[in-house]
Amino acid sequence: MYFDNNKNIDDYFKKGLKDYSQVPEDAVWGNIERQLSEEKKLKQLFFYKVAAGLLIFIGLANFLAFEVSYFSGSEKNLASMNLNEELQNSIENQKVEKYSPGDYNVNNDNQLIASDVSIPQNILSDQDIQSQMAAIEEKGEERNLLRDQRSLSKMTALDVKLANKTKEPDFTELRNQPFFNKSKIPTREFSLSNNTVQNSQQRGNLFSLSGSFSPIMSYRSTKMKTSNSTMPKEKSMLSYSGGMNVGYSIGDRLTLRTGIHYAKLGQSLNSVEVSSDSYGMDGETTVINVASSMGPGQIKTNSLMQQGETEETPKYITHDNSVLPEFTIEPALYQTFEMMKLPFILEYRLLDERFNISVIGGVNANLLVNEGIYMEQAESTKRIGSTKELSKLSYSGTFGIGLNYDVSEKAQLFMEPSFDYYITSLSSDNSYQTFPYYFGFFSGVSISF
Amino acid sequence: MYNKLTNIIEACQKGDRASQKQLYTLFSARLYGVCLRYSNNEEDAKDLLQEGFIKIFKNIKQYNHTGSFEGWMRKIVVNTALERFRKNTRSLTIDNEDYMDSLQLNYEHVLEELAYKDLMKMVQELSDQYRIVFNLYVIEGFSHKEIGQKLNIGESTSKSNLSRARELLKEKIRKQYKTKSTGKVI
Repeated sequence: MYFDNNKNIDDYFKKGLKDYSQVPEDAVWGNIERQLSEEKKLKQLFFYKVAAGLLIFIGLANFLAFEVSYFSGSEKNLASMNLNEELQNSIENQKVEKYSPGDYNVNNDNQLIASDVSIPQNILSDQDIQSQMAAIEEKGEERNLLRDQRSLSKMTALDVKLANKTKEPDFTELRNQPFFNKSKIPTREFSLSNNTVQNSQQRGNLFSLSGSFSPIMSYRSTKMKTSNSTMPKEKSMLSYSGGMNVGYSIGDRLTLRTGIHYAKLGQSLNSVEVSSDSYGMDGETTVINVASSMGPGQIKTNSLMQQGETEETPKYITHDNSVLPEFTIEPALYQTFEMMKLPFILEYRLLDERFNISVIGGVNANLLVNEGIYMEQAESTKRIGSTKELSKLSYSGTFGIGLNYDVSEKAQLFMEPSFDYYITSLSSDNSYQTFPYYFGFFSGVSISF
Repeated sequence: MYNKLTNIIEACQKGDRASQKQLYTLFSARLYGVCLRYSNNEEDAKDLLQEGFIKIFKNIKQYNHTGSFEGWMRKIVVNTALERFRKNTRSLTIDNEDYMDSLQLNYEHVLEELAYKDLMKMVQELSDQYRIVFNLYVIEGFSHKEIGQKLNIGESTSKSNLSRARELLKEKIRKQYKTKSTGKVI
């Protein structure tokens, strides 16, 4: 046997080495096992970091919300008195006299000694409020009042009335005195000023910030004016959506929400048939034109040929590495559209309890930020083409149900099964009247402030 | 066997460690053979096998039970070898040595005496580029155009690399035989 042609030596090595096997050292499995364990730990660590970050975020948000309404405790206490007729009468009977500089002592350093200021008994002191609250608590009303933040808003009128009746100490003249030491003046009394009470009420729970995420099942409805017999079988596609919202309460039960959301929509194209008529040129690139209800798609033949890297060599690739003139692409292709969504949503609460149910609805402006036709490989998904003639801006409507649970006064967990339907066609070509839609089951956290 | 393998794959898709070990035990020897072909020593082959199995376990959820599972794993290992080659090779140059004249040798006896391990050693002794091109063309069955795309080289470079690899292998076989049959002129 002579190696007088290349085939002989090729065959010889192929026969000898193609199915060559050799047992590796045991240590190799040990290394693989260790690496797998480490990567699993890293995944868990990542999860814990996210969870910890979320908890810290919620905690900080709660803390900040508490700080913003620093005097909310006093307001609540005062508001609570609304239901205590006896207490209300006592408040209304209180009269506050205006202070004058003469009411204060001056020490040797010409500084005002605030501790020496004797606060008149008819101003509500901490002790008064606490003792009065204790009386309310005995009647079992305090807990409910504190829990239900919205009850506070109903008491605004009384708070204002109370604040009007209770004059704040006038330190104006004192401040003009050279011996005035600001740090020595007790600040708590200022909380009873009209402005402070009103501002606090205005700030309380008017806004909310929420984040949500959901897997979504997207598809489309089509009213195409042209039919195409070579249209591939189209199916729905599972992807995801998520984003942030800012809410603004415009009534006791009504909230307006807006924000920014990302959504990846699309569909799968199955058994895409390619014929000799499908070929075309896009600049200097040979492309395969693919019909779809979303719009005309183009697949680059070069990208298609490279799919053999991780999969079995596709049947449509010939021995000399060219693409057959007619074939069917067997792996499903994914036609995706990535949207940045600007929602304008109204939420109406049906219940006013710790567990709430609400109805949501509104419209969204959707900006197309990316699109593509993708093919799955063993290790990744590769972009092999694109959809043409798409509208950059489209609009959709949203309808859903919100299920909210108050985990604290400021934090809510929520789930929102919702449906998003495009009211304008995604294609800029009038012959394609196709409207994407998706179902999502959003869940997230909302912080009020 | 089929059902057993299917069960193992499904368990691996759920991340079951015992099944991962079973899968490794079933296929490690054959995949190690692939790794040896694409490496120039056993240490590199072991690293390649480890990296290949990690990728297999990471991506096994994507295996949809169509086509040969072993073929799917081999593709991942081969691609891992190519990735390593691309990372480690800054520039792809062909050897400018003149090609040896075609050898008109009688290899019949030589071939009978050479063990598979010797063949493997010869392939491993080729330069990285020659070895990769030889493996992709001869063993995996890729065309020069495909090899060119995978390695970012021209088709003609792939052809000349293969030709050079063949000549070097012939020379190695000749030397091997010389060593084994001292004094015999071939």
